[in-house]
Amino acid sequence: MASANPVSPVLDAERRSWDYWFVDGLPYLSAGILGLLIAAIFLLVDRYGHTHSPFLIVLVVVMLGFVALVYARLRQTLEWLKSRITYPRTGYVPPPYFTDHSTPPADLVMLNLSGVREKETIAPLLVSEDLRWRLWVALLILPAEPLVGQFIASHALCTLIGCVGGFFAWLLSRKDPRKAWAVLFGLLFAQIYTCDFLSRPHIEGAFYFLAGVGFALALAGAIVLARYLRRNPVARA
Amino acid sequence: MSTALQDLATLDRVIHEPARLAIMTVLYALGEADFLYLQRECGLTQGNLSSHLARLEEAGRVKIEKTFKGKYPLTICRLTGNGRRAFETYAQKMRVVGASIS
Repeated sequence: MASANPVSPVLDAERRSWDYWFVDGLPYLSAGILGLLIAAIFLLVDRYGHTHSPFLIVLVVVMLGFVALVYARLRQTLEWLKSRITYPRTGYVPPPYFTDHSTPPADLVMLNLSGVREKETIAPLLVSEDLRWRLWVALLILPAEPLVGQFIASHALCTLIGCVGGFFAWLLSRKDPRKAWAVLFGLLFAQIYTCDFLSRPHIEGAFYFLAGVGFALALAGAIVLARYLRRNPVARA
Repeated sequence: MSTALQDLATLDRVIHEPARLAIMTVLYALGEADFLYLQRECGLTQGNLSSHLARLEEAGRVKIEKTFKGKYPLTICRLTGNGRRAFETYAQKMRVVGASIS
């Protein structure tokens, strides 16, 4: 690439294809729903676990299985949704860094830690602007959940703070939606962090916070999706 | 005629046309793309894109394949190995021209 040229058409095409993956709001919606489901699972176990109800066990196992499946097959899940929603309207382009049809671990791919090896042309761009931002957003979200659980007793307030946190996470990432992955994986890591370090009285508040974040992200995703659908009716051949 | 000028005269005319250059640039960056996506990205009409893709396919620069993604029928356009090399050669020649006037 000619370094004198500030906007290389090749890099621009790559970036636009990256953005295209997020333009329909589906990643936000998925992140939000996953956040809500994870919060629901932990709250159910925390609140009703002592009953040892078979119904509760089945429900939790099914929900956990669903979350694990969606998380492990995130790209495939999003592609399945996009093949029904996005591609008929605005066309298909391969997901970022998947032109060779490989399936590296989802978290590494979404954080661009494996994909950058494959396309050296865009690597400096991602490291200089995008990866730094993503890590920054993730680092903000990571300590927020346990902190809220630790110091705020009111569940309603925890949920409200979660909503505000989710809204800001969306606001930070919406100009460059690739950062949305940090939000998604930030939530997941926050769960592990919360379960490991918080004592039982504080853990509920943390999960209410997560439910708030999930709700805000799902709402933002749904609004973006609705706007996308309105602006892009199905193309006629 | 100097060697540099001779190089310019041997520019790939299939790629040199602006609409085809835009198509080749997108496909070079992404490897493959759907007809509809290409149409939107390059700002071409359906007929225009069709004719340019046919020209590129005829020259062996692009491979067109009809397939399905779920229930959605796709016309996938891929850059061939020959097309990729041709684009790189073309870019190299244009870079020399660009460097000399910048």
